[in-house]
Amino acid sequence: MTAALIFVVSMVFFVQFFVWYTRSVIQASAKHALSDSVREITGIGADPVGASQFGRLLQLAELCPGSGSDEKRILAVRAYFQGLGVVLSLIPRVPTRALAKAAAWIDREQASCAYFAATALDRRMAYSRTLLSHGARA
Amino acid sequence: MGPVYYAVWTASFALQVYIVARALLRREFFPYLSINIFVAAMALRDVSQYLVLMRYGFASREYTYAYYYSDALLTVLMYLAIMYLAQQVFREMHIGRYVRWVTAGLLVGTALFAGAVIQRNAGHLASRFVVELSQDLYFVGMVLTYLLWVAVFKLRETRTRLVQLVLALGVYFSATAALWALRNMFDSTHAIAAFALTLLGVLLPAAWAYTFTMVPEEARLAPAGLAEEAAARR
Repeated sequence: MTAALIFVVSMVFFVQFFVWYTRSVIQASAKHALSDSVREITGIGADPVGASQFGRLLQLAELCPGSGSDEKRILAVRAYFQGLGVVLSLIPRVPTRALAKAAAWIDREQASCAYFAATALDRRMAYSRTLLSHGARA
Repeated sequence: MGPVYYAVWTASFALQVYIVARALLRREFFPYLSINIFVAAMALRDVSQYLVLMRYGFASREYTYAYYYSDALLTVLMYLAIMYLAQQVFREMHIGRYVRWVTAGLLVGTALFAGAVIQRNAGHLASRFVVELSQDLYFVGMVLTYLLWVAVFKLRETRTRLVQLVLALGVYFSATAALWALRNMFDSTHAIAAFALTLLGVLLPAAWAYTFTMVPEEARLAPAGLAEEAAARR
């Protein structure tokens, strides 16, 4: 009985801590303004980054060589995005106010994840450019 | 134990050595003393467990004792790390003395509790009760981390490093407590829980290594922004 209670409480805390931790990682990336070249290449333009762009942006980031220092963060954010997607798919399509609010919140969170993916791509592109310029000089 | 176990172990050990070495090289060892001692103890535990494993084997009584005792000792050190973080959070309130007293009380209390439990169960230390003890120790750790997070939140602590160190600890404690509880409930989950615990052993050093490497000391964020529902920043 005690073990079951500890299990349930720990799981609730785990989800909560994991969400906060991932948000703290995402929030740090939110301060990073996207460069014009990334906006141009990805077709984002001047529009805000949407949740639907997450997969494509992450694919592009993975194609771009990087220093490897952001892989753990990408893994955590991808898990968070997928977790949110699972929750979203479980929300029934019954139009109640609370559910609509929850769905809108998930959409915003997923958009934050997409922005994180865009900043990862931006950093990796900057890294590649630096490597190329060093190579050209050598 | 398969190659995946050894790979995870090696990764965990490498990250622990990296954190301590980096702290020493950058003269950040003493400013983050408790955390560095804890990480160094983790590395030491991994080495000692490996040596015992090589000498006596996975199914031996010696390995079981080494595993559970070193883990219990590490949990106590982890309480010290929590209290160090608490001291940092309450720094400006000048109540560091009280935090130290609470730490000492908590340590003595935990030691007495563990001692009493061990004395009562001396005959079957390697059986069910050690699982229960680990589950309880990690659960207390999780509650303490949560209280610390509430303090971070209420006192509007903005140091990104501190916030991420606390949250990573919260993720680790809560996941570990849940796994021990799962194992306590179902003996058949032994193998899964053991592997998941080994994986978790990598995640905490990985998260801390990331924080120390990527987050500069002067970085700031608003914890309120992490908890509030409306996170529309763009």
